[in-house]
Amino acid sequence: MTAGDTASLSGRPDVLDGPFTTPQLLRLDEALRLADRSTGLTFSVYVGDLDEPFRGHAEKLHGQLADPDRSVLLAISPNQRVLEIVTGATARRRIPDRSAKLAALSMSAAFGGGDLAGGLVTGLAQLADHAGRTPATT
Amino acid sequence: MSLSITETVLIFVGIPALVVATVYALVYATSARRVSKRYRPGRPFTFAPVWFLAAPGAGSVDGSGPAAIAGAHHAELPAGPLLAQAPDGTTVAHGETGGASDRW
Repeated sequence: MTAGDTASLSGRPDVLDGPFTTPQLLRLDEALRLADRSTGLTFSVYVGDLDEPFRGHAEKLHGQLADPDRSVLLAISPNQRVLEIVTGATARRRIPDRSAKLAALSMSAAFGGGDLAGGLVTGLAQLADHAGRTPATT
Repeated sequence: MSLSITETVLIFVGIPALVVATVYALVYATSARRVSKRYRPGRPFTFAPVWFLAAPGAGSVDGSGPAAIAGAHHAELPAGPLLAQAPDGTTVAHGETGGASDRW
């Protein structure tokens, strides 16, 4: 967090202090936008340390999103090697826990090989696939 | 054609040394930065936390395609304040959540 503060003081975007290169950021951006647009849900990715009850911390982060019920949070802590997928009440009906587990498995396989961005892109695509097309309400 | 010792040294040592130094600097400047960005499982992960959302309103402004894509960068929530708020947990009053967990 201190790194983020100093970076914002010097006028450099904080994202550049994250673990991703610019091409990876672009791929991630594309994957997020595609997932959001095709499903109507809000996908969000957090990469950083999580506090000890990992599930609880991830759910708190999820609760801070604009519309938690329709949101899906992918929280990843590379230090603790933990991956949490949190789906809101509405999103859960579109993405059952079994599908989320399936996406989590393929993501953790990529992370185990050191490929954070690739795993995230794959996971987002899988989750969006399971959620299916958006109903016309959005 | 007669070269003095200084000129000989300059031409046959100075110029090659300059070329070597230039190539070394180029290679080191590009590859060192790229390698440091990589995450290796098992090694400490020292990057700043990041949180991404898709561009806000990108779905609603489909008409202005190129502009939306050009202007739509990562709407990154500021990690510091949000994480500072996290332990308070005042916003947990929404419905039940589901999902999955995994380790690697």
